[in-house]
Amino acid sequence: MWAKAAKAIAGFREGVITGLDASGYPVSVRQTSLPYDAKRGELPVIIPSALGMQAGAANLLCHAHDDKLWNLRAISVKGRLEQRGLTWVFVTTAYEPQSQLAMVGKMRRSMASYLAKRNLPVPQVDFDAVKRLWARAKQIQDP
Amino acid sequence: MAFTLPPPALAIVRRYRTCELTTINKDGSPITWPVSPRLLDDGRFLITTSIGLPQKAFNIRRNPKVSLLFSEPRASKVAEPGAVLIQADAIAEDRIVSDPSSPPELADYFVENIFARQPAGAFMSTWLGKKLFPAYYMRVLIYATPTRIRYWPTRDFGAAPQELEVRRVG
Repeated sequence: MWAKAAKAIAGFREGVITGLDASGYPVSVRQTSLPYDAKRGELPVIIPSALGMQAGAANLLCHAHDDKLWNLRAISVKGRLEQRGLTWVFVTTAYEPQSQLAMVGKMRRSMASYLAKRNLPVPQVDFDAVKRLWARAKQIQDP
Repeated sequence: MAFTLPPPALAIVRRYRTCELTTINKDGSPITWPVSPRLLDDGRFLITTSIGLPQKAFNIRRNPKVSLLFSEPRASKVAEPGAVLIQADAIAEDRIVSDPSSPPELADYFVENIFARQPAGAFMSTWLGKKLFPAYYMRVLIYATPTRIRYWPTRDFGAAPQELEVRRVG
């Protein structure tokens, strides 16, 4: 039932589970293995009790980049956290794969909508300033 | 700064290329993105988002509670790669910044946290980059003030993290 999510998750070695604590702040914990059950859409997760995680709405983010912070990849799976005895389980509720092409279109539409709702013109980017900042960045030996 | 991090934790926060930022959706569910924040001298974190990806800003304007988990050590050269979890109260400014050199902390953010670490990002200044991603340099600035900090000295994330003191300021 969750084959697409399982395939996407299999492309990553690790992921981050996030839920909420009792005061309503988000709490995240990295998971160093992702034994995802594609039939049930379930992932057993390890959450230290000291974090005060609460059962309820949650998500799984897996992302990666190379040594030059490029070739960015990320997936996000919606779900909920359930406490079963002493263990926690992330249960999938939704997963929608998104292509990079779709993301380009979405970003353009979001920009247009953001400006239109505020009756703002398209801002003019100062590319001379961008160029100056790139020149500074190229002087950095060990970023 | 309203907190003091042990040197290994400070190295994590300063040198990890990304962290996982979580905001809270309208329906109360958390949503998490990889971002590249900058720790400012006053202890706040500067995060930016393009107006092409404004959901972070919308969520923060409705609910300021966020978290930043620094847990991905790739390319950081950090000797002791643990993790730091920061819960914070954030604000997302109303203005759109299209001059990346102002304010000064934004210039430092672009130079040190983005451009120097992501050389292929120069694509965004090319003709094709501007056509495909016109909003890339149209940014909303987000400032996150830590309220609680926890630190894992190693990658044993099943262990209880150390609680680090955060002093209330103002």
